[in-house]
Amino acid sequence: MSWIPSCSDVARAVSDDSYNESSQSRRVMLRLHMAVCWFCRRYAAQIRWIDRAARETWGVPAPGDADLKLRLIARLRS
Amino acid sequence: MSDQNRLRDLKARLPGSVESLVEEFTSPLMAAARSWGLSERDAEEAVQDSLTDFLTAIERFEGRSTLKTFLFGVLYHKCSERRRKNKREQATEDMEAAFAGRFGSLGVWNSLPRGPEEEAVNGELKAWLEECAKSLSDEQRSAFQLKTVESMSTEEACKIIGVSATNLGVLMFRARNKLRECLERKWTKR
Repeated sequence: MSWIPSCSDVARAVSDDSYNESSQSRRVMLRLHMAVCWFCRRYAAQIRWIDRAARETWGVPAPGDADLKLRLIARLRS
Repeated sequence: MSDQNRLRDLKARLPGSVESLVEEFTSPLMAAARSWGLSERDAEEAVQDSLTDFLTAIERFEGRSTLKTFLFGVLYHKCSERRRKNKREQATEDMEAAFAGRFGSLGVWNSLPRGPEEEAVNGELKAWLEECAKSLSDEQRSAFQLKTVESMSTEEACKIIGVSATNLGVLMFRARNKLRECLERKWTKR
């Protein structure tokens, strides 16, 4: 990994969450790259969309959960 | 309610304590069990077994982890046991090679990455996501569910899955890029 991040470095840092654990100087370099690279900004927006879509798809109660809760309470109380 | 108060109420079997536990944790645990590849019936059994195990062992629960981390940890092991029983062939796609192929020798994009960016998450896109998630390995799916959907910290997710922070990063990288590549294929074929 060179001092000046490539598109590949930026894409990796965005998708493996290592951006948050990078040094401050590294984060500045990654942000500078993003500021001038439309392709990387598009990629980051797509990863953000995937995270949001996952929360909206799998982070909400399923229709059958209300009945299931009643069954579980009855079994755990018995 | 804090973990400490909840534990005190559960140990004393106060009225409403079990109901409150079930109310708060059933949906997230079921969502995780489903996402980790269990059928609806197996997921229900795994969630029930996890809650039963917790209530049986509650006197020995020392609070070294949060209640949420503990319950997801028990569930993860229950799901792993059941998955081993229903072992299916895992996709062997090499995500690293596919990712590297997107860039030229200087690490610059070969072509514009395409896919949904600002769109509302409608039924069609949710269906795509469900379909694309089938290509993830069990560990990739577990890491993605805990970190992204349950918003757990790296430390909590590592504890549950039993991997290092570096390995968790690799799992997240592969999960997100498999999903993105798959969505891009569907997006460009629309």
